[in-house]
Parts: sequence; C-alpha cells; structure tokens
Amino acid sequence: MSEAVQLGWSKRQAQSAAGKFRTAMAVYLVIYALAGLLAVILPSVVGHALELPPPYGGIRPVGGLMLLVAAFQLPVWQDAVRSRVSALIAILGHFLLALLWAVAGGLFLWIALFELVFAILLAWLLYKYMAAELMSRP
Amino acid sequence: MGASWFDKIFIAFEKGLGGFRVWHWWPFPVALPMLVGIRARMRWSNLFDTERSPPVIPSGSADVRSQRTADGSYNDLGKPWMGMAGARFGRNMPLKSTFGETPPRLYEPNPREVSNKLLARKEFIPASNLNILAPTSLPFMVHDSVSHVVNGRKNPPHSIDLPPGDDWPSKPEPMTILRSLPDLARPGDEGLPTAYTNAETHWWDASQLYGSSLLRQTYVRTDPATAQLCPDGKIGLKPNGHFPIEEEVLETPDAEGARFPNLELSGVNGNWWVGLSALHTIFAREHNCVVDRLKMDYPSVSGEWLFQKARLIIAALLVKIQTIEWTPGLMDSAEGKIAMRSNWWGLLGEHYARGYGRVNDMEIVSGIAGSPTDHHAAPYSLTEEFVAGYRMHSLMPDTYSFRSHTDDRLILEASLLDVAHSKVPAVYETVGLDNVIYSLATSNPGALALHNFPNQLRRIPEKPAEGIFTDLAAVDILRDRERGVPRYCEFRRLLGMPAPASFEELTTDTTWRNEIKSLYKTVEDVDLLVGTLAENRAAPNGSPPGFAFSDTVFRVFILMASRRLKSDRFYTTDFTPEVYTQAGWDWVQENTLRSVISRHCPSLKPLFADSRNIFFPWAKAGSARSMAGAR
Repeated sequence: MSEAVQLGWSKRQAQSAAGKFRTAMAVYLVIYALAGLLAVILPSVVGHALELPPPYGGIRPVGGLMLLVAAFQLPVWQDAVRSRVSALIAILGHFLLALLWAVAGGLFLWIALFELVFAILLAWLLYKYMAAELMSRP
Repeated sequence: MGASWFDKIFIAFEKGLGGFRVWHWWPFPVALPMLVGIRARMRWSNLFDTERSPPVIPSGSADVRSQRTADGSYNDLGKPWMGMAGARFGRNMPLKSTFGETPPRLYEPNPREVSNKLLARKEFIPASNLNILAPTSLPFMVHDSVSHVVNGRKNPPHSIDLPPGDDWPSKPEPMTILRSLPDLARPGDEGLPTAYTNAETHWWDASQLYGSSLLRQTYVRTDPATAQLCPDGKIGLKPNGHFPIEEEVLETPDAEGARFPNLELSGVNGNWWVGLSALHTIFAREHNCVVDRLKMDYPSVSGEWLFQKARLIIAALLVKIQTIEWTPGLMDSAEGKIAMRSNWWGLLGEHYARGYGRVNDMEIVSGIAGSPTDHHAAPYSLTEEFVAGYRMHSLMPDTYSFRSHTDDRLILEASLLDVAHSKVPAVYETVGLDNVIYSLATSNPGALALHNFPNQLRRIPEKPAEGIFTDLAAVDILRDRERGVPRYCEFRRLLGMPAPASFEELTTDTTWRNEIKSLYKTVEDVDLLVGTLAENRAAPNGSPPGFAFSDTVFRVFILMASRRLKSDRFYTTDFTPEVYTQAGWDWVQENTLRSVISRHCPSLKPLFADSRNIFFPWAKAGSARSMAGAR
C-alpha cells in the first residue's frame, strides 16, 4: 500500500508544495513592493538608475501602481487554492508584464527578465501545488 | 441542435492535440481541457436512441414535479417515458454497428476458452490502493439503474462446446447459457438492430433501495413487525436494524434476486452477498435518519411526503458519493479528481459553490448539479456499451477474511459463495455489521487485469443438484457479442480513439500477447473485455496513470457519468432547496460516505480517519495509523 492513500501524508505533501509556492511568491512580492516603494520615495534615484531622461514626475505614480499590484496579489499568497482564479490571472499578468518591459527595451530588459523568471517559477510551483492539493482530496 | 461554440473550441483543441498523443500523456493543464473536449465531442457523436415508438404514459396522481415516481416516468415532463423501468437501453455506437453477432462469429473464439485461457485467476493480483468497499459499491450503484430483463427460457440456450480437457461439471454435455431477451419489435424497428430493455429505471434514483415499481416500493416500506406500511415514511427494518427476509410469495421480485430464496428484502437484491447487503443496510438506516430530520422541520406532513423527500435526498447523496468519492478513488490522478469533482461543484470548487452558489449556468464553471437539464444528441437512457464497461468482476476476491474491528482477530474465513444469498443473515449473526464493513475496508480487491477473474464466479452453482452452473466470465464475453457491443478495436475507433493495429500494439506483456494470439485470428477479433483488461499492461495507449480501469472504459464513463446527472431533472433544473427542502439540501451538501459510516458505525471512525478516500485501505485495528486516527 502506497503512502499516497494516507490523508496525513498527502496533506503534508500539499502543505510542502504550498510552502514552496508561498516562499517564491513572498520573495517576488517583497522585491516588487520594495521597488515600488523606492519609486514612490526616491523617484529621481530610480530614474537615474534606469537612465531615464528627467523630469521623473511619472515614476512616482508607477511606484504607487506597483504597490497596489503587490497588494492585490496578497490573497493569492495567502491561499492560492481558494483564490485560484486570481492566481491564474496573476501568473498571466506576470508573463504580460515581462512582455511589456521587454518591448520597452534598454535597461527595462532586466526587469523583463526578472518578471519572466518569476512568471515561470510561480507557474511551475502553482501547478505542483494545485496537483498536490488535488491529490490530498478523496 | 449541436455543440455550442464554447464546446467546439474544446473539441478542436482535443482533436488537435489528441492526434499526437493520448490525453493522459499531456500535463494536467493541457489534459483537462482535452477531457472537456472529449466529452463534448462524444455528447454529439456517441449517443443514439433506440426507442422508435415509445409508450404513452398516463399521468398518475403523484406529484411528479417535486418527487420521483416509482417507475422513473415523468422525470422528463415532456417525454414521460424517458428512462423509466422497461425502457430500452440506448447505444453509444451508431446503430448500424450494433447488430448482434450471429454464429459462427458469435462463438469465435469459444467464450469458455477465453474464460479458461485469458480470464481465469491464476494468482490473485491485488489492486493495492483500493479496499473491497470499492467493488462492493459497484453492483450497489449498478443495480440502481441497470438490469437486463430476465433471460429468455423459451428460446433454446446458447450451446458452448467444451474445449478438450475442460473440467466443466456438465461434461460431456456442452455448456449452456440462456439467451438475452430482446424487446418485442415495434413499428419503426424494421432493419434496425435488436434492442433490449432495462428492468430498472435508467435514472440515478436509488431504485436499488426503493425498487422500480410501486408494488416493490410498498414491500420495502412495509414494517416487518406489523405488515403495514411504515406510517412515517421509513423503510421497514427489523428491530436490529437489518432487512426482513423476502417472502417467496411477493409478486414482483426483481429479476436477479428471484433466482435465490430467502434473500433480505431490498429494492434490488440480485447478486446478494454480505458486502452488498451492508451498503443497502446503512443506506436504509440513512433513509430513516433523513426522515427523522425532516420530521423536525415538518411535524405535521404525511408519511408519504416524508418518504418521497427522503428518497430524493438519499438518491442525491448516493450520486454525490459516486461522483466525488467512488469514481475519484478509482481514478487517482489530478485529472481524474478534478474531472469528477467539477462535475459536482464546477472548476470554482467546493468552497466557492457552498459559499456563494452558482455563478452561471455553465457546468464547467459551477458544476452539473443545478445546471439546466440537457439530453444532448438523444433522449436519456443508459446504454449497452455502458453496461459492457461495467463488467468488472475481476475486482472481486475469491476468499474473504472477516475480522474484529477492535483487535483485528480473525472471526470467519469464507468464500464469496459462503457469504452470499440466503447466508447473509447468518454472517451478520457471527460477524456483525461493523466487522463486516471493517473487514472489507481493510482488504484489497482484485486488479482489473487478465488472469484475475474470480474462479468462484466462473463456477456459480445455480442449481447444482440439476447440474446447472454458470461461468460468469464466459457469460460476460458472450453477452457483449450477443447484444452487438463492437469488439475492442472497432469499439475504440467508434469512440474516436486509436485502435491497435497489431497484437504488439495491444499489450506490452509478451506472455499475454502470445496467449491472446493463440485464441484470436487477428487483433480485430479481440473481445472488448479482453482488450480493456489487456490495457492494464499497454503503452502508450493503456490505462491512465493512477486509474484502476482502462482508458477505453473511461471514455464511456466520462460521457455517461456526466449524462446521468445532466439529463436528470432532479440533479439539474430541480436540484434546489425548494424541491429538496432546505434540510434535505443541506443533508446532501454536507454528507459523504465517510459521514454516513461515521453515523451508523461510529466505532469505525478512527480506522478510516487517515484514509484519503473512504475506498482506500483503512488502518488495521491496533496499528499506528488507527491510533493516530483515534487521536
């Protein structure tokens, strides 16, 4: 008899998969929120780092938007299974953002790379989490 | 009428990818929409009606809008004959492909030889991730809606020559098998295949508990102590909570049960054995519990009203158990689970459905339960191919150990026939209901594979004094041929699946392959049952990972399991608190087989606490798992 038929074992597998997804999501959200915060507090530093021409008036609203986007993803971080539609939208959003940053070109390509790496990682971990959660059900 | 644009997208998706690889080869996010596409395609390509001139059904006095009729009529208010007892089985194959086989092909290869050489159990092959409640639930649910009317005794039986060296008891006389009884030809039947009728209602309406006629229902509702109808709508049980014994004088015994005397009295008591009896018993008690619950809210209603509401609720609960517990237990993969769970709750899931209800009418989003009724390409009926898919006798072991649930002590070691038919009450006296359920739940059934058909069922002593025995394996083979169920390769093609072009593609097991080759001239001749059991060892088109049954059978199930919900008004349009009552609605939503067993056999609870699915092996008494469950 395989351990997979045991409720306790399969719940632990699902919890472990959830932990991995939540850790990766937390890392992403912290970096994303910090970047947003930096853009709100020190827009000129961000503008300079991205080699944007002054004035930097548009950076602060973008930073605010990033904070808002990070906040909207908190329910997914908290419980991706119950917020699965939001989770799927968030993952698709990451891929879309990666595309948009890539189109912007220049130093934005680094941001596109960051988005793409996390989009793939989160998609994979979410898939594993969903499968493990399903396999903990009757 | 035809597939919606939404379905057409999934059909195209499945056709596109299915041409490269079978659905279960793909990762879960791809496989799932492929399954949706397969079902949508089959709903418009694999449903065929056989009723050419259906009978006119007079409307009775029953409230057909909010209760089920005994014979299953008036489920569809526009076509009241649909799915009722006595209606014909439909087909999943185009009618021109379903003519019954005739000699000599009917007997080629010899069914008894197939039984001996390919099906007979050599050594028990267990399905180690399941317990015996799984195969016990199978006839319990099948008896709800499938029973061919009793085989014809007027026509000469099939005569099967015995192969050299066969030890069949009738030797030197040939083995005989009664013929299936065809329905009488009606206007419009000319040039079409023979049709067969169902003795039970086709609906998923718990007629295994309540019977499929008003008279049978009356017997079930009769209090054995008073011989009067139970006044409060309960099922008649003895003071010890078991069924009374059916009197031989009853006028409408069910077709199967009528063959054996002194059976316990339930709606359907064919193939009666102690496992089947245990499930009937706990659900009869559950019915009576539901009645007690309803009486709290409706103290002044009639016993008839209570009975009918309780029946609705029990039927829905059984359907829910079959959909989200039994079937996912046998399809233990992420795809299998989500397919079945979303049939009931939709992709939004249980928490959303129970918290917020339906989002819209789409079954894929919010489940079939509560969505609009739809029969798709044909009026509702079960099909001969569905019956053929359920030939899963290999799940049954030959011997059973009955043990104590308190210390796992052996109480009784018995063969299947020792605990069947009239011997059931004696088993309860020796073993007790709790121990029967514990024993079945801690033992493995057989795997669905070649060489695993229980030998006891290959020699059932129907009337041994008269030399009448049955080889159920040979019967299974012959019935499919007789009723025009296509053989394996053609069956797969007609379901839109690739068919093996050679014996090499049929199975990867070289021993099995050689044995099959020795009996069948070409791979096209291989019987459906043999082919599906060989899928247990076949790649890449074999059984899906985690599945106890073949992909071929699964295709029929994914169509028909959904259809049994989607066509039934009481699981779709009228699956509402208004029809079920709020208490009844909640009962269905909140209960599972786990809770039902907890209620009626509370001492067993610690033993299944750590089983992910109630049909997976339970902890043995005294084991670390059972201790953990008790905590």
